[in-house]
Amino acid sequence: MNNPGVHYMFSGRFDSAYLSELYANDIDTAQEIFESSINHIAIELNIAMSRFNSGDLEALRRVFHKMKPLFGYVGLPMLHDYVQRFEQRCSDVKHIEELRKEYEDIISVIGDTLDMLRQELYRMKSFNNARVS
Amino acid sequence: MKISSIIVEDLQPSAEFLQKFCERSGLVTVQASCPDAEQALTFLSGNLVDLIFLDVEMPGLNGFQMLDQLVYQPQVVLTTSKPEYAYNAFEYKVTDFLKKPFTYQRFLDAVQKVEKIIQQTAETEEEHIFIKVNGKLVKLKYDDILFMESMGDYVKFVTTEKRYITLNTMKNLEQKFCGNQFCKVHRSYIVNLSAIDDIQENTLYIKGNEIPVSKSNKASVLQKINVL
Repeated sequence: MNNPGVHYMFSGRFDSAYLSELYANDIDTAQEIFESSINHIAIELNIAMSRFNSGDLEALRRVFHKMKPLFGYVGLPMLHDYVQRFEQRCSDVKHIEELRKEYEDIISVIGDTLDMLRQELYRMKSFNNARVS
Repeated sequence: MKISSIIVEDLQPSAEFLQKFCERSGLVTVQASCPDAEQALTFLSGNLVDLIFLDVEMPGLNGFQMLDQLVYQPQVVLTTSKPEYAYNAFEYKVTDFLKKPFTYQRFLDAVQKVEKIIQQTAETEEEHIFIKVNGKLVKLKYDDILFMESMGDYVKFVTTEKRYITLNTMKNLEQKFCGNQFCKVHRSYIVNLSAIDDIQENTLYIKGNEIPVSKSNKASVLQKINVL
């Protein structure tokens, strides 16, 4: 557990109140979970592209279902909800082509989000390293 | 006594997150973390736990299909990101339902619910355990167990009537048993304190069985028995 007197401030786009509740200022744990979540989002993103290209709607839904909670762990509940809506759309439509526009949008948003998450992870690592040294 | 558990979760960050909460609580030990139901069933066929943290959507069997195949019923806390499974959760009489991602406080509420049920069950039932012997689960009452002896990867349970050999470790049994009634007396032995007939130097006797007491454990054994 970090020194309770030294608080890490998450960047503005993250739900700081929610992250504080999740990690209770334990930034070592937050860093571990962020790192692990980023790796898995990147992996699942590649799988999602492959599933979309193969036209397998149910497999595509499962990928987004699996990815969904990861956005919660990194304090992005709005993205969690966005992925949830897309997951539901995968169940609602008959043909994968009906989803093309939404799919392209969500892939782009998640790609941008990964960049943002990597920046935050870098900040967190710097914070933790400074605290240790 | 801590709640023994396994985590069945295919998404590694979710499993790590849960594991951290278990550590933070100090109430739950995680015996294994399994990425799918098949591995969990294999683990559970040789190990007994109080609680399963169970995801629903996983590759292969889903969480509910796994529950259908369990030979005994530990308590179950479902961890899923899909609230639609709440109805199935109710049907399967799971103890609690955690929607991912959940807060530490919500996790703690679920664990305390489990703890309460374990306590209530212990009060209403004679304490017992099931061990797997030759492919079947055998019920042993705590009062009937004289001692347990380590045999490498196996453990021998010696009761008033019989001896049973089961796949398990002393470390696991130590967590499960050592408290008021049982005590580790040697790295290879856990004994039922109420079954001890006499103690001489570094040896204790239970129904004609000679059991060594290690120097490091002797003080705690003497502390737990009523010495005049």
